[in-house]
Amino acid sequence: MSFEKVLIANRGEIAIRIIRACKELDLKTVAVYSEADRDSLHVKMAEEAYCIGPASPTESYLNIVNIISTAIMSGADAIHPGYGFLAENPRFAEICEQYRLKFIGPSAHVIQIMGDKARARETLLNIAPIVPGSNILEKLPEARNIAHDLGYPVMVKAAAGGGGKGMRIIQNPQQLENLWPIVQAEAKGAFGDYRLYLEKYLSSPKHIEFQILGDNYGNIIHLGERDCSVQRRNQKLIEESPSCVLTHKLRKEIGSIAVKCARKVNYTGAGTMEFLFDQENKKYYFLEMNTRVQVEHPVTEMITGIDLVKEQIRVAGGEKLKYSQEDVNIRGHSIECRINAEDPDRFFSPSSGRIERFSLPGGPGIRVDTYLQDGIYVNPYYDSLLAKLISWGQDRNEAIERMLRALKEFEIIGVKTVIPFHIKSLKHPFFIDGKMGTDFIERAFSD
Amino acid sequence: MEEKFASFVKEALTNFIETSSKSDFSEVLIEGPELKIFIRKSDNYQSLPVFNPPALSTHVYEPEESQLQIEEIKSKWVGIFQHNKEKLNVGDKIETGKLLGSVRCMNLLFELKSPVDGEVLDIMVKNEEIVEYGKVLFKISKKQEDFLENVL
Repeated sequence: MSFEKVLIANRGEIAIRIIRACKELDLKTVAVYSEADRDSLHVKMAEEAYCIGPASPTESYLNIVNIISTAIMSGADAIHPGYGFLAENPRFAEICEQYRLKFIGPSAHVIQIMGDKARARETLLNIAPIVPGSNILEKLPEARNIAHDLGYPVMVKAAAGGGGKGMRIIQNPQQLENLWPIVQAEAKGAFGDYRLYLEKYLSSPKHIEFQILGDNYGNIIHLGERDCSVQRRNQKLIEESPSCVLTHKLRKEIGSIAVKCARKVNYTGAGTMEFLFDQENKKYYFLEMNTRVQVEHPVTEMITGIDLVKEQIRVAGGEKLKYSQEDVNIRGHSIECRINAEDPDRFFSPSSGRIERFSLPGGPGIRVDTYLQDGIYVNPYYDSLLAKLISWGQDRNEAIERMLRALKEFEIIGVKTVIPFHIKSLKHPFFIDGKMGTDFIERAFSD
Repeated sequence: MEEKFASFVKEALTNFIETSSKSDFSEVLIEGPELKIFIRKSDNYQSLPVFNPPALSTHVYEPEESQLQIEEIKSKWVGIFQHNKEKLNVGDKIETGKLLGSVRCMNLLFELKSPVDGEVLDIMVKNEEIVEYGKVLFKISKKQEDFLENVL
């Protein structure tokens, strides 16, 4: 491999996941942490650890100067950005390249193209069907005309958006007048880019995404899909693979399109092509690409047996993909529940506090990826994700049964969590029949 | 009562100075209505007042280190610390804005300047030492006026 020591520019469960992969690959690890994370598990697990700033992410996990300097000073020769923070920041990837640090992800150029949602749509226009919509719009009058042509409801989205932020459903022309400047301001605040575009809004689509892996030798494969339809405020809560609504033929067809899209931009590393799937007329539309490892990557690992993070690191180190498309075999069914520190009875508002006690579930077909430790403080500065609970079964029923059993075993005292919501969801008829769309929560729990 | 006391002490000391300059005695006993002062003159004890009334105290208040106003100068960067060519020493007086040293970070030098007037109390970093965010590099005792200004 072209590097020996990896700096992990992240925190929480994903930092631990990456450290574990590095250890299995016999790579040395360097952790970085904010003052609030001094006692975190990822700090203890890495061979070296450096404080890079105060609790505020803008001054620590987004502090490019201190992260790069830590890498240089510690002798790291690669940086793994994880997800969130700097993972999809082309400037960061570019600076890594300038300082001869291998950025474990695609090139800055590819992140630039695919990270700009509107530009990605334009790039892939002739390869993947896209949700009818507009190019980037500068002004409201243009938006008025296009929204009229698309027909309401429409979605207004930030060109640089992602993670469910910077998007709104617009039901009528008056709402467009009111919300356009608000979404523009939100986009500017969240992404430093005020540009928006419009899309036709699909009422109850499924969110289906395809996992991609590519190396530097032109080999690109897909590892099947994940169904991430259970979302709140456009942020995923439950993911599973395979999806109940894709036939073998459709899987092959969409998977092949996902690979073509990746090939179009010479994609390397791990990435995800997201699609919306219209269940009524079995149509699918390219939504966006995420140029990083996803939170929900474990469900793919469970059904394919392929360690995505290790493969991502290996190909970044210049090695060839270990697997061809024919090697990818889907076995059984896997579900992931995100265990967030949120109060599901209070509109999923974040719940911060000290973890007094916790007890992890186990047994057959259960995996837990977490940074939990007794006594740690769940800081409101960061993502509310405490743990990812993943189940595997011979079929979907067994995966659900195991997940329900594990959710009941999982004990977290000190903060509110979404565990009760997951138990209700997994027992709900809409979930059991597998046809739930992205409006599952509104439809299932509207009372 | 206080006036009476002060007048007695003044009178006793005046008597002692006058008498001691004329004689070679080694012990003096001055006795008043409510107080007795005993003074012994020897090789070890030139003069030994056994009672020092508070009104005449000359004690200068010297705060303990823990009571000093100490400014900790911490690194904001992760990098390699470099002292100035003319390295600061403990006890050096410094002014606000004085260059304390630099941190080399991404091949750039970030200067570290004193935010206060004061005196270098401790230097907690070596030249070319790797420093991380939040490491205390210097301790500076703030000038007392600064402290009073802050308090007031």
